[in-house]
Amino acid sequence: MARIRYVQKLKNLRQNVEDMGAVTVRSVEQALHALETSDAALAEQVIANDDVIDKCDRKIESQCMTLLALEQPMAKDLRVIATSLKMITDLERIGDFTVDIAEEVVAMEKPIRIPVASSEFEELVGEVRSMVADSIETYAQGDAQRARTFEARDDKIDHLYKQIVNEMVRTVARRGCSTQIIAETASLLYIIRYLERIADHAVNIGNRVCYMEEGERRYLK
Amino acid sequence: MVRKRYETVPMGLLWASGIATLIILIVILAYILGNGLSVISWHFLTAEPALWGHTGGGIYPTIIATLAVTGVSLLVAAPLSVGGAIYLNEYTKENLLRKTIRQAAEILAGIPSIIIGLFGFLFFVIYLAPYTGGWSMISGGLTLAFMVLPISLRTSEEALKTVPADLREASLGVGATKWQSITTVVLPTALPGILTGLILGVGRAVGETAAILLTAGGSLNLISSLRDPGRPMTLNIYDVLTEYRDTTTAYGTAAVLIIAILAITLITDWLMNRYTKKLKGL
Amino acid sequence: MGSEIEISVKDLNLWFGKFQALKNISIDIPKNEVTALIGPSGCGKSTFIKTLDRMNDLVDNVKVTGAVMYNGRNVLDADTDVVELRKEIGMVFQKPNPFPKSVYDNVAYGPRVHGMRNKKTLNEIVEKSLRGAALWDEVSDRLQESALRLSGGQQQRLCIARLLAVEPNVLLMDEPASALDPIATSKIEDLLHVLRKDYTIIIVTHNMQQAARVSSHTAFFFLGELVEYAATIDLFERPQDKRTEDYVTGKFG
Repeated sequence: MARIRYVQKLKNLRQNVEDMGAVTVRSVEQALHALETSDAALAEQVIANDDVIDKCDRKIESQCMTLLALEQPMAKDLRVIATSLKMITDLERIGDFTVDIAEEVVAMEKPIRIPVASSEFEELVGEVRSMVADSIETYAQGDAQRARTFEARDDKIDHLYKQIVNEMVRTVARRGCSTQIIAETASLLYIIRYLERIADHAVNIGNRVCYMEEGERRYLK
Repeated sequence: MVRKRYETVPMGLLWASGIATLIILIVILAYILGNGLSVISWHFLTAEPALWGHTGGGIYPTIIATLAVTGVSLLVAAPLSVGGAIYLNEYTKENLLRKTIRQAAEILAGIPSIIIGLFGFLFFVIYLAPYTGGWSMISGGLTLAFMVLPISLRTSEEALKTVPADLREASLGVGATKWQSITTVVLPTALPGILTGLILGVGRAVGETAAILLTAGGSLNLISSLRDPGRPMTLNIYDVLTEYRDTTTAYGTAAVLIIAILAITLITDWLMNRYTKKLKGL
Repeated sequence: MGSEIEISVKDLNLWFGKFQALKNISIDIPKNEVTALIGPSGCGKSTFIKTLDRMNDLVDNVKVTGAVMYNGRNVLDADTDVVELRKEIGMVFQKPNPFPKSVYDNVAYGPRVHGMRNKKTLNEIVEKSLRGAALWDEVSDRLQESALRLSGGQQQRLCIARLLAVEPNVLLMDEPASALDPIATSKIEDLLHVLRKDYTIIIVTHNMQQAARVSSHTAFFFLGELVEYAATIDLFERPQDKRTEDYVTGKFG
């Protein structure tokens, strides 16, 4: 086989993207854990670690540009690089959203009680967690089949999201809620908004993986 | 440093061999021209030979005879060799026929001229007497053609071979026919080589003696037609020396011959050089 | 492919003696587009285009079966007027091969062998062809100079002008830029973009990036077979055949 050094560079690129994915997944985990346990210190860590994600983004972008300029990649190699380039943006945005979640956690002074729809909330959190992790895995394994299921899963997340929002708004609209409750509810609304956006980015990743594997482009509806 | 000596000794010997050729040429030229140049005069070149027993004649008829015999041989050999070369190189593939023809040409080139002369004598002088006039310029010229042909056929073929195949392809590529390609592209490009070959042949013809001896006749009279016998310059040198012991005329004729050959060779070289440069656009 | 077809090849097979150089090639070449033929050395792409203008006739021991349909007729038929065919399907070679004549005489050569004698018309044809080959500006003041004094890139464009002078429909180019430096190569490639509006162009190239730059359709040849033929972007972005994938990513050949 020819171009051994080039093939190795491509492998390195994929590994770097997977590593960035791993860091992002951990960030999501930590942010959600901080939310569940009201751990402000952990949340601060998440915020600080975002630097790492940003650095990865820049490094991988540079790697991609070098490969494009110097190696004239074609076919699957080209698609891998294009996918990686787009994907790191999605990962970086996911990272930013976890920071947003962590900031909400820090801003709250006391542990959050989820007033209503707590089971839906848990479900939502669980789905988002697994989708992010799965998206990285589909990239690592080139599993376009699994990636194609993300859209349906995202539909479910959107559905849960709307449910939770409706419930919370209805609850707060009742007279007699204290400012405290209203503030907490607002925070939670932000948080699930961020989670919903994280899921969207995970779907993006899945679509890019389909393109990488099969060459067809799938777009978000 | 011993190795250096081993280098210079062979180098010196090689240099000497190279120089030897030059020296030999110079010696011959010097001897002939030295003795012969003084004989050449306008009278010498234009007057008829003196009658038996007298001296002071010219060699005009022999010059004409040389021209006649060379002309006839070229007239026959040129189209045959160029045409033959074109046929072999452009119209046939590299097969048995081509190899055989080439081999035949080489054998023909190697046959001693006296034997070709003998053939010429038997065939042109005796057998075809009614057409050639027996001992004549035609007989001599045709016989010489046999000697010019193999050389010029070979060199013409080589010249055609050096024309790169992609020129022919380019010509065909714009829709020229094969014949058009040959006449408008291949031949013009191969011309220097072909002409050089013909000139080489001419040189051989001009300098040929044995075959002429047996076919041209030897008469000193100025020819009035090609069917007349004549005495070209080479034959004249032989005759004049053996019959009359006339070394003066002999040297003179030799000098004229050598100058003629030198002139032809140098002028052709120069012309071909200019033509080639023009082709290359330099 | 939505465009008209200029040449339609069906089941083309070719043998050099016992060796089969082309195996069952079937391909439709679109009109007024640039089609590139790529593949490793010896894969048959040059042999293929030489079949289209019957240049393979010049080689010993060639046997061809199949059909090359052009203008409603099979080019391979014995009664094809090959001379006329080569006027309509012209070829440019890898090494520029101008005749050792003047620039003018090179371009006028084609029309002249077809009988054109009128000086004025010849002048017009020469200028038009040299302009068409993007060479006029560089040689208009040296038409009588020997063509061999031009640079390699200029000589190649001269060879193109020579073809344009006989008004062909199809231009076959066998690695036209491989003997040229990068700047001369770019000029030829730019020229192709202009020429394709009026001519159907088929270009053989061993330089994939060149094929990617200049062509709208690309065919991948391998060991005498036509492995894949698609729009250029499809062949390079998502080839269907593994052999094509391996070749364009440089993993072999």
